[in-house]
Amino acid sequence: MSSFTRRHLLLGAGALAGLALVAPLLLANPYSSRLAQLLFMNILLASAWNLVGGFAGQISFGNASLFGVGAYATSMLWLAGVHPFLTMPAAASLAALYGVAWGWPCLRLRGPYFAIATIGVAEATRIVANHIEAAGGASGLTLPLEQDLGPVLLYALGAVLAVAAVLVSAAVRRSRLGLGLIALREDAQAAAASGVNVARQQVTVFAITAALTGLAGSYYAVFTLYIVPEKVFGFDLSISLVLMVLVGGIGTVMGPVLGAGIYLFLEQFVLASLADIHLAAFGALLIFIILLEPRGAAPRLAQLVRLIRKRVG
Amino acid sequence: MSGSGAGTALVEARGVVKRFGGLTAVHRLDLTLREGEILGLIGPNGAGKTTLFNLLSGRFAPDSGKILLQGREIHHLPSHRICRLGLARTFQVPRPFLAMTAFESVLVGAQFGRRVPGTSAAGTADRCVALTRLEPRRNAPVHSLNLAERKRLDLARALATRPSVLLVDEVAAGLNPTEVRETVGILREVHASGIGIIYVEHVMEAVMDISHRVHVLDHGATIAIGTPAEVTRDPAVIEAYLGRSAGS
Repeated sequence: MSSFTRRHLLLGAGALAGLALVAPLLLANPYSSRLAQLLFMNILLASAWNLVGGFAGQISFGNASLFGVGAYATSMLWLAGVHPFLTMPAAASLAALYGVAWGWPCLRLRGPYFAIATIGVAEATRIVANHIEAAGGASGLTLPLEQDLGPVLLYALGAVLAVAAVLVSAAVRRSRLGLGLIALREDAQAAAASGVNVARQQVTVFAITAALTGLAGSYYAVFTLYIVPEKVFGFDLSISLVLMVLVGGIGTVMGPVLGAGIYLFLEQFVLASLADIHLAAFGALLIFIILLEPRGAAPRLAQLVRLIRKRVG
Repeated sequence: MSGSGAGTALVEARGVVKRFGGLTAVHRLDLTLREGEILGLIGPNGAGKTTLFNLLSGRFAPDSGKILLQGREIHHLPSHRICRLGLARTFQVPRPFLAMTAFESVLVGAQFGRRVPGTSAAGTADRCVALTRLEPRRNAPVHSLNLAERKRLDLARALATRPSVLLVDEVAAGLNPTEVRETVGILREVHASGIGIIYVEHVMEAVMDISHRVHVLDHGATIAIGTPAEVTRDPAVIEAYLGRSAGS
C-alpha cells in the first residue's frame, strides 16, 4: 500500500493543465471568474471536511470556526502589510492550532455527541469574534481593494489549492493514517484492540482538515476583500460543507469534488431564484439524497464510468 | 506438547476486582498464563469471562488489583498500548471493519500492532490470512463473509499484531463440527508458533481438547484450576454448571 504514487502526481499535474486550458473560458467575465473562485474554495472545503467526516466518520458542523480563523489571520496580517501569499502559511497554522485545541477534547466524543459539540464550539467562536473590536467586531474587516491580486492570479491560486486538497485527500486515503481512520470509523473498540491509537489518529487528521479549511478561509478573504464574522464563522457555511460531501459521496476522494460542483450549480442557478426559502429547499434536498442515494453521486458515477469502459473497450 | 509445568508467567492477574455499579463482575481474581501454555477459561454465563478479557486487554481498568504482561504492569494502559506490548484478542461476536476487504482488515493489525524489525506489514498480513485459511477470500469485502469466516478474520487481525499472548473469546460458538475442528487446528498452529493462549469457550469438546490447564470461574471468582480431566470431575464445577443434586 504505497502512500503516494507517481500516478497521483501525474493526475494532479493533468488536472492543473486542464484547468489552465479552460481558464480563458472561466475568466471571460467577473461573474464567471467569481464562480471559478467559489468552486475552488468549495472543493478545498469539502475535501478537507471529508477527511474527518468521511474517513474518520466524525461529522463536524463546526468547520466555519476554522474557516473564519484562516480568513481573519490573512486579513489582519495583510492589513499589517504582509503580502497575502505570505499570510497563507500563518492562516493554515493558526487554523490547525485552533482545530487541535478544540478537536482534541471534542473528538473523544463520537457520532451525534461530537456533531453537537462542534456546533457549540463554532457558535461560541462566532459570538466571540463579533465582540473583538481589534478585529473589526461585528462590522468585520475591509481589505485594501487597490491591492487586489487580479482574476488570473486568483484563478491560479485557487486551482493549485483545490488540486492540492484532492491530492492530500488521496494520499491520506491510501496511507497508514487512512487505514487507521477507516478502522476506527467502522469499529473504534476493535481498532484500539488492533493497536490503533484512536485519539491520536483523529486529532492528526483533524489538524490536516483544519489547516486546509483555514487555507480556504484565507483564499476567501483574498478574493472577496471583505469579511464579517456572520459570514466567515456562520453556521450556513458549516452546513453547506456537509451537504456538498453528502451530495457528492462521503468517504470517497472524488465525492467532495463532485459535490462542490453540484452544490455551486444548485446554489447559483436553482436556489438563488428561491431566495428566502433557499435553506428550506436545501433541507428538502438533503432528505431527498439521504433517502434515495445515501452514498452520494460518486459511486454512481464510478459505476457509469465502468459501464462505458466495458462498452467501449 | 506439554509446555505446562514450571514455565514463567506470560500473563498474571493478581487480586483483580471489577464492579459495575452494585454488581461485582470479577472478585479478587488471581489467574496465571504460563509460557507456552493454552489456558482454557470456562464458567457458566455471567461468570465474568468476557469481563476478564476486557480487563486484560485494557478495555476496562480494574477497580483494584494488578495485571502483568511478561512481568510488566499493564492494568493502567489503554487498549492500543497493550496490543503493541504483545497482547491481542478476538471478540465473542466478531467485530469486523465492514467497509474493508479481508486483507485490509488484517493489514490494520499488521500496521498498527507490535513492530518486528525485518518484517513488512503486508507480508505479516498475508501470512495471517493464509494461517486462518482465508486466502480464497483475501480480497472479498468483509460484509460478504459468513460467520465462520468473520471469526477467523478476527483471529487473523489479532495475530497480525504479532502478539506473544492471544485471548480467544468463543471462536467455536455457532460453528458446525467441521468448522470447529478447523478452528481448533488453527489454534494449535498458533500455539506451536510460540504464542500463549487464553481460550474462553462454551464448546467443551474444543476447549477440553486443546487446553493444558483449565481455569473455572463462577460469579467472578475462581472455583477450580487444573487439567481438563481434573476440573470435569471437580464437584464445585459440576455444581456450578448443573446445580446441586436434590438430596444434598
